Amino acid sequence: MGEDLINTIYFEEDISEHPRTLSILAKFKTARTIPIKRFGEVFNLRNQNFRIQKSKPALILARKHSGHVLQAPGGFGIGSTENFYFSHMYNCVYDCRYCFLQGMFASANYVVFVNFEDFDIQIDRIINQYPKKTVTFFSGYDCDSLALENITGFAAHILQVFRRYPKSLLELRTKSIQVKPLTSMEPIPNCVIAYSLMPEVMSIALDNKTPSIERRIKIISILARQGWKIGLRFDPLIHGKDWQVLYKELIEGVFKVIPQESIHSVSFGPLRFPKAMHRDIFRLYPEEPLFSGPLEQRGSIVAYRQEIENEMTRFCRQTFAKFIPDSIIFQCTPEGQSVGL
Amino acid sequence: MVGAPAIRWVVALKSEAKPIIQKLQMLPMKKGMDFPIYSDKNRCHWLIISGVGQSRSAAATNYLHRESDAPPWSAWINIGIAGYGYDSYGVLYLVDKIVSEETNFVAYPGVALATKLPRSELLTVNKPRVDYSEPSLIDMEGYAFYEAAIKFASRELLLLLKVVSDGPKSKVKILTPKKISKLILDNIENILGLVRQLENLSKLEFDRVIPPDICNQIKQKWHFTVSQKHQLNILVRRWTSVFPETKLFQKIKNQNNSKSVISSLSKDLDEYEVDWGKT
Ligand code: SF4
Repeated sequence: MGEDLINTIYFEEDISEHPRTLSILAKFKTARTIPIKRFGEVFNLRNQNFRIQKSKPALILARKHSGHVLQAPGGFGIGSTENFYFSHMYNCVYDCRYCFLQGMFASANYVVFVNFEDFDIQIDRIINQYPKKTVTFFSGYDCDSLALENITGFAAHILQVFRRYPKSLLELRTKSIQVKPLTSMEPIPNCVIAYSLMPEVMSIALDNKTPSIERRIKIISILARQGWKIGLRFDPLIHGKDWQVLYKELIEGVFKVIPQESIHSVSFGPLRFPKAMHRDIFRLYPEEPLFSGPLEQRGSIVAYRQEIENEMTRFCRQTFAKFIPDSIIFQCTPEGQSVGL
Repeated sequence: MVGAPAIRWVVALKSEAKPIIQKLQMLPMKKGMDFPIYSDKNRCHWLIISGVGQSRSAAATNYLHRESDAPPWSAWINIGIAGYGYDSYGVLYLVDKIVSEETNFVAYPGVALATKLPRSELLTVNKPRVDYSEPSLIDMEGYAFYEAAIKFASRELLLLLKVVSDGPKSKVKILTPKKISKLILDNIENILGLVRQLENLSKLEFDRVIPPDICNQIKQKWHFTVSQKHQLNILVRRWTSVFPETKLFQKIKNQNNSKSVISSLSKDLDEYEVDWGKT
């Protein structure tokens, strides 16, 4: 990320001497730095304009005081019974139109929590709580796991932590092709590098600022060749003209270049928004064609009509099953929201 | 309806306002008002002269909001002179942090505008000050302006600009109205550059907040209940984002009532498959 993309950095006074704060600030020598007491002073306040902020987000460096690692929502998982997630960062450099972060935070500024060591302690605690089980941790729930890696170094840090816990599983979910920390180390068998994919024409329209699907697939195949385990995430599934042809081409194309033995899991899930989140995102981007599709309100969620959802999930599952065993195909239907990370 | 863009200026002194009034060709509004108010002929820019001090600035901001019928997509600007401990007489600063000396409360205006202007913290005080030891600009209105204007606009649509007029080497006593006007005038191009960006943001907000014009035409032709009006606004937004707006009236012109208008639009969208290759 170029220095010019971030020209304002707020930092909590409390962590002004933290080595990670100092090293991040050193990367933005020309940025204006503004001390704050707590990140809430400039993040999630009322009267912020997410859409305008998104055009020039500021970076906020903060300490996370609690809730470093949280239980994953129901319906979310890739085989384990114990699923947790953590986010070293809030918000994302990309701008996917279906992203739930747009409806979750009032601010588009990036918050980076610099106290990685406190995440490590929590992870250790949780793993020790379940000595006989495989516990899965998802990184990149409130952000993209790798997109700001050259600034935060979080992936490089957390991968080393998970080397110590071979029985646990870490998923790094991303759309980024900045994979230097991965290509410059020995693959870690209990880490899954999970890429979100959708047909290229949909991605061009919806995945703003992200690397193209073609480039993502290229990187996936490089990582697979290097020995990393790969997760393929078709979540959310997007409806539109010729969706079957588009998804079939995409899925066949991916499995042509990624060897089956590299694939840890494939997961997919329908596009879903909690009602209030849909309202907020629609208010932000009322001109967005995504919201002109055949969506309906079902109870507390807004989703494609039930028969469309069923048809899409059935079709994708059947297409995946031509290439990989059923045991590694997972349907994610988190209560009320697509993950879309 | 008040159009877009909508820009509202709150300025303490007549001498600070003068170059702006002239540049934007504003004229005084009707007499007998609590504060002098000016506006351009399109009623896009409105400017109020508040007088010195926090309470006057807050009162003027509220007054201008009311008198100019400021819409939610208005951007608000406070511009004026300020003291500064560094030797930078005449330099224009963008304020990105404001501290109230009286309460110690802090506020952070948005920083989404693209500019190379130097930026600074602003300390708002209640009494004139010639102690410049704080590493901040010093004024007597900024914090109160922010507190009043944030009720009407998001942080990203609030802009505080200060030109350094006094400091350890430039005594406040020798400032004259003429000198003050010149300080603003010397920076007018930079000021207007930022204002143009705010105008664009204000227009974007207008487009985001206000349903397309055609909604009003439809509402005039058929009778809609309040909740139907809301439903219609959403449906028209969705419809016009994938079908040409020009065809909308054609499409519904034979409908008998509001209910059938709504169901006709809903049906179209229900059956619509987004052609992602064409968006
Ligand atoms: S969906 Fe993922 S990659 Fe896209 S903006 Fe959201 S967090 Fe970033």
